Amino acid sequence: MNVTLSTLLLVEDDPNDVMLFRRAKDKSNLANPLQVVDDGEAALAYLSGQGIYADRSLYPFPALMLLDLKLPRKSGLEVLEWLRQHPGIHRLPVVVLTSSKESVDVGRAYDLGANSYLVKPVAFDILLEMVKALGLYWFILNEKPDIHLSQGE
Amino acid sequence: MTSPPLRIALFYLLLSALSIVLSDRLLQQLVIDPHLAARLEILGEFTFVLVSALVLFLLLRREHAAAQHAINTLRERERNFRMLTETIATAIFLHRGGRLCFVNPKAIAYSGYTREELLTMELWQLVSPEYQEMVKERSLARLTGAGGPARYELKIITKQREARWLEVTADSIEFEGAPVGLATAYDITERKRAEQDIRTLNDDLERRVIERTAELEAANAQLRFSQESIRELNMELQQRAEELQASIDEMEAFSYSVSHDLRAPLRAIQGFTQALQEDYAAQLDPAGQDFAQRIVAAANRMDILIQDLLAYSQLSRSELSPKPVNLSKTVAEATSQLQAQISEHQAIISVIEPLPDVFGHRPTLVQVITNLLSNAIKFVAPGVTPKVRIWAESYGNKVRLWVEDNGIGIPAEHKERIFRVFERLHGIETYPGTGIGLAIVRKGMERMGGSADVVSQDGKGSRFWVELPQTRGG
Repeated sequence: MNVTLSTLLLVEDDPNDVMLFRRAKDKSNLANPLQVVDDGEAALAYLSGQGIYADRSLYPFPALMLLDLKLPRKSGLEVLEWLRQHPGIHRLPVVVLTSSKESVDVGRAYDLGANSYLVKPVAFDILLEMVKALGLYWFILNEKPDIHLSQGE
Repeated sequence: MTSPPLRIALFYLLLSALSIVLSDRLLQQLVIDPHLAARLEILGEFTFVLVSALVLFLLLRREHAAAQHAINTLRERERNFRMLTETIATAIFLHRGGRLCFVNPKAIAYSGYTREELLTMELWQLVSPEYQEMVKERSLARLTGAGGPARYELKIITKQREARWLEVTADSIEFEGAPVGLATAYDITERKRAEQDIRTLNDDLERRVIERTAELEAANAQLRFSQESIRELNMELQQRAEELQASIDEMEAFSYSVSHDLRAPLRAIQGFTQALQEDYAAQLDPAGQDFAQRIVAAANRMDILIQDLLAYSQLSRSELSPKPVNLSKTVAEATSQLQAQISEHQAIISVIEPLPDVFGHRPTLVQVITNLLSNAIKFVAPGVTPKVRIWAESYGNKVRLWVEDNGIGIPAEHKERIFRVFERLHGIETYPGTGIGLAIVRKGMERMGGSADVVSQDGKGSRFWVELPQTRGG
């Protein structure tokens, strides 16, 4: 695996969704390494490099976070709020990937600084399209912001 | 000192004696002739008598004139007194030991008796019985000098048995050499009546004040009771509102849960069945492939069903604040959302401009028009190219948007059923759908203050319409 490629962090508690996402990512030939955490507190630990995530060679700071909203321990919105108030790392692009189409969720996510909001499709083909588009847009087309890890850790 | 008549008499006696003594002696010395002296003496006596008579005459005349003058003065005074007592507006009663001895015309007028009758009556016989004892006692006492003048109000009874109120001043005076009782009086019946009227009015007023106060108190009590009831009602209402809010919250939680959790297993079913189809295609015979395909289709259908249900329930829950909406753009947006379906069925959609602006909620209106167009394209007989015409007409302050198709139409008896949730007229194999689309149309229009209906004949296509208020000034 090419270590220079930036990491994609998926915050998702449903193992089925994780499996389907991996399958879609593999099928779409998205080569970027994928890291998965399955609850909100783990997401915070990963982003701040604490506990088992202290070693950045094993757990590199991501270039993009895909964030589910309904999570154990800490909700996706809480993770987002925490991140945006955290100097140094607060610019990390965040794409919400969740089941909810409820306008309150969408509005709240954007209010808290989500860069994009995607609803998990039921049809796998559409998920595939979505992952392809994500890879193209966020890892190739999108200009990445400066991240200052020293301040974030 | 002696009285003037006595003095005159004594003076006359002295003068006569002196003249008798001196005149004789003087004549004897002056006149020698006794004859002459005798004649002069006689002359002197005549002269004395003459002078005496003259003096007597003058004195008597003066006395008589004085007496006459005194009588005249007395008569004058008596006339004046009578006139005074007879014309004065005050009644005057004089009594001697109670028996009336003088009354003036006013007293006669007040009592109603004649003078002759009055002068045989006791003073207190005129007075109302309840005052008789008091008047008798006080009048008699006053005659013997006890108590001075007094003034009081008395009720008398006239000869005609009428009550009359007098203000009386009682005193005792010397009259014809003896003490008599004097009572002067004037009529205060009118004043008494006025006072009585005022008292009655006051009493009446007081009674009415008491009554009105009681009424007010009753009204206040009623008000307090009403306020209490209102407060209770308010509390009940608030409780209802809280219950309602609780069930809305529950509904929200339910929808949220449906939105998040119910679709997760669907994704797994759909995703892994597809993985099965792809990765294990070699191991599946055509029947197995068909089953897998059916699983995928069912999962997809359930997903659409859930999304439609959520959209429908969200229509009931959310606030649709109406704003001016450009109808042309809205129709264009709905058409573009249906692009895939339109090209799949090679449908011909013609929009007859202009479409006026309306007052509504744009996202809901897009959903409504999308559902109508989608149905118009879907419900055609096999092999028929869908042709949809869209136009609007304004009347009054309303705009009616028509969506006309060349589809299979709706039998008249089903006209109302189709707007209900989960109502379907056709098998899922023939015309797929959730049975929620038209329910969303009607609910959405109603929530925006509009309405929706259909004009249709079985087999001859349908004309659906939705109606909204026109934008003010548009």
